Amino acid sequence: MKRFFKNISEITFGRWSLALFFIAVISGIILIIPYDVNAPYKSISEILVLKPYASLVRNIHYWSSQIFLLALFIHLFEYFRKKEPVRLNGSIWFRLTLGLIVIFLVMFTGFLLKGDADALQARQIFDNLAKEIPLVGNLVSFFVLGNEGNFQFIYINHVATFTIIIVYIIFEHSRKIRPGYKEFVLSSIVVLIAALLVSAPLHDGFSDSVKGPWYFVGLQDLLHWFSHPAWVLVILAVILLLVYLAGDKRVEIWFPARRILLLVTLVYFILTVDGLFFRGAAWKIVLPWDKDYAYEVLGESKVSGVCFSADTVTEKTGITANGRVEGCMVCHNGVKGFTHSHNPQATGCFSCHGGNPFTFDKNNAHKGMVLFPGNLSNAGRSCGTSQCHPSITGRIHSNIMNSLTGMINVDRYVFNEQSSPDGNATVKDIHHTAADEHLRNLCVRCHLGNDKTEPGPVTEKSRGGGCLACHLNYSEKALALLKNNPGENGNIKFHPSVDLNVNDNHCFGCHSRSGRISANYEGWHETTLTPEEIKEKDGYRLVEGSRVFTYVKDDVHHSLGLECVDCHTSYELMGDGNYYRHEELQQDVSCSDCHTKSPDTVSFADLDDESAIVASLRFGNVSDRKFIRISKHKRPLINVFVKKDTVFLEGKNSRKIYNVKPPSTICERDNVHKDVSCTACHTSWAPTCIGCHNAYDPSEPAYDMIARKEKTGGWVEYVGDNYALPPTLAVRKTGLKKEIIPAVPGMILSIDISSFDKKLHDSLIFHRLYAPVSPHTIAKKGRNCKSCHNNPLALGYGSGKLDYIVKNGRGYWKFTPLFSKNSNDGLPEDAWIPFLGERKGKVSTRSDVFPLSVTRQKRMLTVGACLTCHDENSEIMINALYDFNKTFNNRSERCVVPF
Amino acid sequence: MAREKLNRRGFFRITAGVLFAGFLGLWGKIVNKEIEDSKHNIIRLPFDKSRKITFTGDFIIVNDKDNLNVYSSHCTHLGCVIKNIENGKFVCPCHGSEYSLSGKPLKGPAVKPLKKYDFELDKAHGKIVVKG
Repeated sequence: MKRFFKNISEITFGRWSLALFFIAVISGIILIIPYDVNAPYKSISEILVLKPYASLVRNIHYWSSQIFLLALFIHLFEYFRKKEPVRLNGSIWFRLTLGLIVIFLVMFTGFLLKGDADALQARQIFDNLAKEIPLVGNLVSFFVLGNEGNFQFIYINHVATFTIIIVYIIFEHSRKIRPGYKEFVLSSIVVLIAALLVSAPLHDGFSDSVKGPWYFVGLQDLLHWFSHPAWVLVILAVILLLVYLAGDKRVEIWFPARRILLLVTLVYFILTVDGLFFRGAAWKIVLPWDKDYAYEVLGESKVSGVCFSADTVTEKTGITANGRVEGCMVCHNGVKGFTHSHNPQATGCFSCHGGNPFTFDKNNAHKGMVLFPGNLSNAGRSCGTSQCHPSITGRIHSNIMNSLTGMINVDRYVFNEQSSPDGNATVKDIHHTAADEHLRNLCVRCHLGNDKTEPGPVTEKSRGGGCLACHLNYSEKALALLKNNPGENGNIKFHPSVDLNVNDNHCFGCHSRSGRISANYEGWHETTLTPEEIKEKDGYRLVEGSRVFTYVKDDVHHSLGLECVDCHTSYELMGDGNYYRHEELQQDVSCSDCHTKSPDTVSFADLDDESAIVASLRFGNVSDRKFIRISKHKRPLINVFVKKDTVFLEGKNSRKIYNVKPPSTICERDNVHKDVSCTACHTSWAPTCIGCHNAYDPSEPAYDMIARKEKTGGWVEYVGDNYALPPTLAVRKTGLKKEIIPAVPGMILSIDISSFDKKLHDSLIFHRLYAPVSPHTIAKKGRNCKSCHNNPLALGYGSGKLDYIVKNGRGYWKFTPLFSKNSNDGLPEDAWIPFLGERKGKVSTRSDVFPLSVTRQKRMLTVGACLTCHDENSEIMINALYDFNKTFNNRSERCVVPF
Repeated sequence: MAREKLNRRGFFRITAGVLFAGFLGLWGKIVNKEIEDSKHNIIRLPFDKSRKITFTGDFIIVNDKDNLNVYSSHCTHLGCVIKNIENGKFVCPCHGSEYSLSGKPLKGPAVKPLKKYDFELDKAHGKIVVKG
């Protein structure tokens, strides 16, 4: 044994290099057979997945050449360490020095012949770098690379030109061409072991991280610091000169040259380590503890060994996608349930699920796999890769369902942590203040970015899930398979579909809370009843097993069969790239876009690509349609079109065609209601919550929805009463424009801040804030006149009795509230403003929404007084609509007006 | 001065030098022709009006506020193909150079702006015609 090691130690690194080069040449010659230079990437993926013996040869070729390079360097330094006179003559040493360039070229062209993303970018870099060489730059580039998009030149240079030059240099240098027996056998064993265990790399084609071969990563790092690459060429030339001088016979030359060379090697080693282990996409620094380190820096370690069982694969068709063979599709062949566009034949498995597509080995294939592609935490490298939907995943993060800007800033405003509800904080900015803990405990659950973690269809309990929140659909077969085989996600034969069939159930989970628009739309109103209280009673619906809803009246659009997506566009639901502070700012469509006599239209040819593609996918050939264009952001409604001056809506899922009627005469007949929004009149009811108390309970079992972990201690909401009532009227002031909109008592609440921070001086916060709403309970017929003009709830006084009393020839209004006065401000529990009064300071959850002014209240109540005697359809009242002042001034002497 | 007799080695050296020079000249001609030909290429790119940024092979189409421009997708530092936009900036995947949407370099190593192409809009077919 001792002798064996002694024998080995006697082998110089020059001899090791020769042996390794010999192995590389032999394996390279064999590799010519399976490799296809016309489709390099595909042929290598095919080798990796389906041809284990070819893969082994490729690995041998790779490892022998990499170790050859290492051994060569050690040989070089081994040589420099010697202090005896150089035996080589000057011209041979000169050619050997130049030979280093050729060795790097043969290695580099081998790297390029992968044809993957790394290789394509490296080719560009070489091309540009070579062109920096004065006079012969273009020539050098063309000689090595040939025509763009073609690998023929590179291939010939790799297998012939450069290899022959190296053979010549080796022979001239060592007078040997055949390695020694010992080093050949031992090198073969080492290379074989490496080749069996670790495959030569191949870029997955999706990761944005681009790196050159390991021996040039230091150069890549160096280039990162140099704006003018020509300087790097100068440095390389100097290094080459140093190598030449290091072989000089004169000690005054070789000694400093070798010292400098050693220093250069050390610096290059540091640059290489930096590049290999600390640089990710766009050469940004990524540290091992950063998220996505494995994916960005290590390429998720797609370096499995050779899988020989692949040789048994008989099914070799239908396993190619994205220009490469994917091993996943060998095992998961024949899985059904996909839409045409997401069929694995088109997209493969890897583009969604990640993992390692270049192996047939189960464990290696599943390493780093994404079980739920479409979660926003992975959407950028699943749905959003550059080949698929990058424009959508690029903008989805700005979507308010993901940013939660409105929710967060209003919550902080209510907790008195900021002076305005219009902040810019997003879900990423949530920390641990009282408001932020409240958000973590109660509100952020509906964050679109919350990951889906369990397989199964979207239900009323579902929250988050990114793209899947809307686009995931389970067929009956897929659902049955899931139920019968829980935990066997990978072995399914029916894959859930990811498609455009977004229905109301996808929205219900989140939107049955807070404003509860999804529930309202279907006519359901949440009560404070418990499930026990409604046992065996009709007219109730149990949501999530504990929330009791009662039926009131559904939205007229729902009763006709329209779904959420029939009105709301992809740009509303997935964001348009802009951050909006409140949902109504992101929300796009308005009633008058469709219910109009003068529609704004756009032809199919002028549609944006996304709308045109989705319109065609949904409805087929609709190139002759004139689509309605939304007035707010000028985006098309792809299912609403004009034909012969009539507006039609086609159900996106139902395909049912509706004739959309223009507004009735009553909506447009007068000027006095011009500033009244459609929803102020046509909202039949809205969920109304009053009297909510919030306190922090340190013993309450809670859940932190940002950190995603159970904790002890959390905010608890003690809810008051819920009612389904017509909304109150509010004024939204936008510049000089004033619009009457519906509002509800969204936040009449108290918050016990001291329960959270334990500071005695922090007293109870009390707010009486109304919130603007779009309750989605539209009725065909609008409110009657009295429901606003004679209604204390509509005017903002709260529920109660509003009487017009005429006494001694004088009229006045009297309000008797239904609810008792709140001890915090002396107003009735549900009121927004005092009777015929105003409030200053914080009045609503928006900075531009206010209750009716006293002047406006008086004007409305004056009309209300008229309505106590005159029917709303009487001639006098109709005339008043056109010229109120004239009608009012010509009133009878019998009329008694209040103000 | 007496002329030295040209021996066989000298003859081969001169012949090899002449052949090598001829070989280089030929290569130079081929390369120059390739470069010249590529300048006359006409490329038709798809045009999506709604999309602010479109990455398409060697080009980036920027349609910002009705101001349409076509840039080379190749980083001016070393030619890597830019395929991404981050925080409103084009980012080179290889060395991290950043450009504004008007192609102006914002962060090194690149110092030159992205190459801007002349183009014509073919409205009838929804294409951008770029003259290489």
